[in-house]
Amino acid sequence: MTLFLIRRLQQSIVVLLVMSFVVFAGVFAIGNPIDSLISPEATEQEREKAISQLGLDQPLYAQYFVFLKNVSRGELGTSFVHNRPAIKLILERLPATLELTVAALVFAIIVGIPLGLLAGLNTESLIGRGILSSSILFFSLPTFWVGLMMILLFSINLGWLPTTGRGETVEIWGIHASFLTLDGLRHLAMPAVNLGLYPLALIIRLTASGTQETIPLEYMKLAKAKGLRRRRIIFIHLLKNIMIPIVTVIGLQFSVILAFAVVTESIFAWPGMGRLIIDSINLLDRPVIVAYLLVTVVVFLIVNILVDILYSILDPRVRLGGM
Amino acid sequence: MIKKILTRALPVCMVLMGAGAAAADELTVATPNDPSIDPHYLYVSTNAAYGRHVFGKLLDRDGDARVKADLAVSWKNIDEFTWEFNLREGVTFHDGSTFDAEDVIFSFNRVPNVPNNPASYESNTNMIETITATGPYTLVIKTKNPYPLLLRRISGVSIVSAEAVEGGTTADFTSGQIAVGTGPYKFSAFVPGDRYELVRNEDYWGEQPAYDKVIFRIMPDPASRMAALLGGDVDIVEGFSPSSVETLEAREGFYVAQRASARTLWLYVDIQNDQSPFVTDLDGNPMDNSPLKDARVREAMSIAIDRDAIVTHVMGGLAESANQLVPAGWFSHNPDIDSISIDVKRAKSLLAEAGYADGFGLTVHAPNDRYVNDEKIAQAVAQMLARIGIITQVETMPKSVYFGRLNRQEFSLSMIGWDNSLTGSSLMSLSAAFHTREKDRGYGGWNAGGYSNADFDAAVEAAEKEFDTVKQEKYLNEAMRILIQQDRGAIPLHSQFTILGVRDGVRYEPRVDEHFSAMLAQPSE
Repeated sequence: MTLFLIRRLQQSIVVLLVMSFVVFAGVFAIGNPIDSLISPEATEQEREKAISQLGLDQPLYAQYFVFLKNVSRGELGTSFVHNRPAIKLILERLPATLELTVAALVFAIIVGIPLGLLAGLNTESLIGRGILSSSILFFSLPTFWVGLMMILLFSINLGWLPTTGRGETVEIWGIHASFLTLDGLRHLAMPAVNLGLYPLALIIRLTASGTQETIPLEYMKLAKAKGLRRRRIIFIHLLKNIMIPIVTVIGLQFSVILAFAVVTESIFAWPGMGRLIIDSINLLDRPVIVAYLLVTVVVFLIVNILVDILYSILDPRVRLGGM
Repeated sequence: MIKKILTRALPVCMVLMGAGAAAADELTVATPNDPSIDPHYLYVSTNAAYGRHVFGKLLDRDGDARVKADLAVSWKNIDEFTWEFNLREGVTFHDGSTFDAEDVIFSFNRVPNVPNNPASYESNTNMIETITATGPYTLVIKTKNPYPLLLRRISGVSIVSAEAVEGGTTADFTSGQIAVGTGPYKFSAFVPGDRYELVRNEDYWGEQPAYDKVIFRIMPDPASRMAALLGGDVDIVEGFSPSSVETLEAREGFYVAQRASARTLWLYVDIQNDQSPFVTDLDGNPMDNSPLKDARVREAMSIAIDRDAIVTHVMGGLAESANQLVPAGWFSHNPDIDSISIDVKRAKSLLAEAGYADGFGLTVHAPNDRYVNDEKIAQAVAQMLARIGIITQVETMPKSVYFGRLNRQEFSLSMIGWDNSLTGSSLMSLSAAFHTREKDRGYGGWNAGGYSNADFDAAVEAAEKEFDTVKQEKYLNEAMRILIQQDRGAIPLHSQFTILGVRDGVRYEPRVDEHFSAMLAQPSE
């Protein structure tokens, strides 16, 4: 286990280094943030002053070197647009996105696994087919369209839910959370469902196909022959065995949603990280872009490690040391 | 028992009533723009608009872009270089401290010295040689050169409290700690990317705004801003998309507030380069002698563009066609410049006269996220040019890429929209976008067409130094005539409108400079 973690950590640092350079070079190639930020009244001299003040007149390698030096001191740079440390901006927005992501995944799991089981156990029936074909709809409809339609239906026509925003928040341990107030929950419902539709569809399909594949296996027959209750067979013998691919997908989806919830966040004006990265890309706010992608990589790495550990718990045949 | 019910029910009733009353005095605005709370950080027009709510200036500009007294009550010119200001007495900052000349001096000195600032406000202070207090409420400003524009320029300098801000950073403003000004609203809360809340300053020296509380909800997506308006979550939508105008007007309970703005769009033409980067012959080969250098070709291009069609079909009627770089009715709008009407036949014969009867190839460049319908306008222009044989491609890009390339003169034909409200005249656009590039003297910083004419330069410089407005307008009119009528140095398109979506029950009058101001909103019942 320790060996596994150490090895993973080494790999992660290499990934982070490569990633930072690629992003740095990429943003460098696009252009200079001064050009889009500076006011048209500014003279050439003021422009040059601003550029040199931010160190943007240095060649790429020099800028990257300064960046690495700052990173070694734990600084990821200061946002050009907000004039505050980039990492602080990101961490400030992280709780909102985390809340949304967890809510979306909880929705997807709670609804997805029972529906998937139902579909897998009753493949020939109308219910089973209905569930499977509607799951296709969930991942083929574009998120922004579904989001707008939801707002149109539930907020504008029916008036049940607020259109956008985060609503009332409660502060716990210095972090604002929506899910503890009724108003916050009403605001959270639509974006969470919207964001959860895609993982929902994946979970339904994986659960259903896993169920179908597992049912005819010998040990399932044995369990039945032993006279175990149906509930025990399904929830212990079946479910535990089909969980590995589902856990993988949930883990992957967690990182993907966390890092790129941008469409849902924009439509529902949810003040999360996804919005920050889009705004920063539009304005070429390089420190924020680089810091954001590094944070994303770290999230991916952590989630992957957690998923691997979960495997070994779910399936004792998996040995971490060998991975 | 009855007493028990009463004691329980009464507070509930009071809370309910209180909540109702508060809601009526609250204004919620959906806006695409994240604010900088530090009024000296990041000089973009949206920040200037936010700043006006919390911070005062010596002089401000009103909704019609006229100079308006704010923290200065009177001012006079002692000589060409020297100005004297008398400051308003008895004004307090939001933290209770008293406003005086020291605060003004501190603010003017802070402007060029905010660290890490990619867009400094210093173009509003760098003409100043010295600024000194001659008393607690009198101030003398000396400029480096005769500078009549000073009165307009200083409206770009927000006055902060010296005591509160001394040693503070932009981050301290963002946290609200030192965000104290003298404006009609006070900082209440700011959640980056989500909301910015202001409450009325009951001690404001001037006219009290109508709403107790203003909430800016920061929403980048135009469709969700519209949805929030229709769903009753916000009262006003800023950055309203023209394509939604019809939908909103058809609905009961909403209206569109609109006004011709100070922003005029025009096309730069590359006049300087013999081999212009995006000019080709009809086979797509670069041309050694750019046809764009010929004034007849530029005139042909200008009269080939059907501005009325662009206004009607692309802008949905929410624009005004332009024949020069400032909107009609403005100071320095030259009435002697002919209106440009479409004339395809004459355009073709002008091209033939210049030796390009068969036309040539060209690319028009435009941003796609900066002006109202910028990309569609470029497409319309390209089709209209194709009609006279100039086969035109369209290339659009995000503003973050576009403006850098524009400034490096990488384009042959390119779009820009210029906000004239700072000077209230053509002066800024003429001196920054068409005066010969002279880095040391601060001219031509945006001269993306490489236009250069000594007579024009002289007229602009004379206008800049002229204190007499009648004479100044004469110089500006002359410069505009040379540029547009004589040299065809730019192709004017139209002036765009400011559009906002508003709920019935709120009355809003847009400002000409497109700045949103909660002070201009009031309940209509």
